[in-house]
Amino acid sequence: MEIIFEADGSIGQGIAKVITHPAETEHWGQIREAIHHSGHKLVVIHPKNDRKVQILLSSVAVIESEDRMCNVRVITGERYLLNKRLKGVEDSLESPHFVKINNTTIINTSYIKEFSSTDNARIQVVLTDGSGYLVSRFYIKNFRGKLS
Amino acid sequence: MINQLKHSFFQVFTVTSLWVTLLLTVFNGDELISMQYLWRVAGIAVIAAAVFGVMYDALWNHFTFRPVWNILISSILSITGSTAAVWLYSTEMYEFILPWWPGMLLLTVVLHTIAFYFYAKADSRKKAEELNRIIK
Repeated sequence: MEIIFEADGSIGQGIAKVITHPAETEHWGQIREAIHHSGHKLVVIHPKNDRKVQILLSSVAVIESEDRMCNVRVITGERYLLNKRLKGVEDSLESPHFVKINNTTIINTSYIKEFSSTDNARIQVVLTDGSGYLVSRFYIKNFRGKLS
Repeated sequence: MINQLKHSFFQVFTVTSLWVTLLLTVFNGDELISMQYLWRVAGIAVIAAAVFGVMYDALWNHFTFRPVWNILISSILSITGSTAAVWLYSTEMYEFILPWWPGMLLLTVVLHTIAFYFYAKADSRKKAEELNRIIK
């Protein structure tokens, strides 16, 4: 298959538009799969055997600060460790989908289900897997910029 | 976070220093003050900067404590800070207001409950709705 790249300023950042011949529509699923699996990878530590493993950045739902390291949770529920401070992770993440929500947590905006106000007068973000995280008011400004 | 808190500390410190200087000029304009009293003015500015510039900013914008903790921390620190600031400004004024401390404490707790629970609840609901509108 020949691949032609074109830039289009009318589509948003982080979006790729794929145009094919009508006869190729049955292969769209394979193309989508291939593009998703070619995404950025993150080198993390498996907590059970201390081995370094590569995971897709797009599968990461939450990164939480844990002393001098970070706890990485993927959307399917597995947890890994990242040998970096949260500040370092924040600076090195190139994806526009990651946003800090409080002093210890970064979430992937792709997995946001909804925002809610808790009984304790705080703002919570609920992810597609049902987990909830508190959002501090200072970072709401960042959200507005990243989500709109 | 640290930079923002540092910025608000010095902002409140400067404004309070000028405010106390203005009050002293209005109420004690003809009096001479000792050099030691200047340190009292600086002390008042430090207390105000720590309480109003740092504590409230951190509790409202950065931390995600339960309202009960916000109310306790802010009530205790603001009443202690305000009383200390009054003592630094004038010991006579401090002795005059001291018998009123239970009422002041009650008023402080009530006002902080309104701010950190009722207002915060309404604000959270409004912000959550606004963010939900953005993601839909």
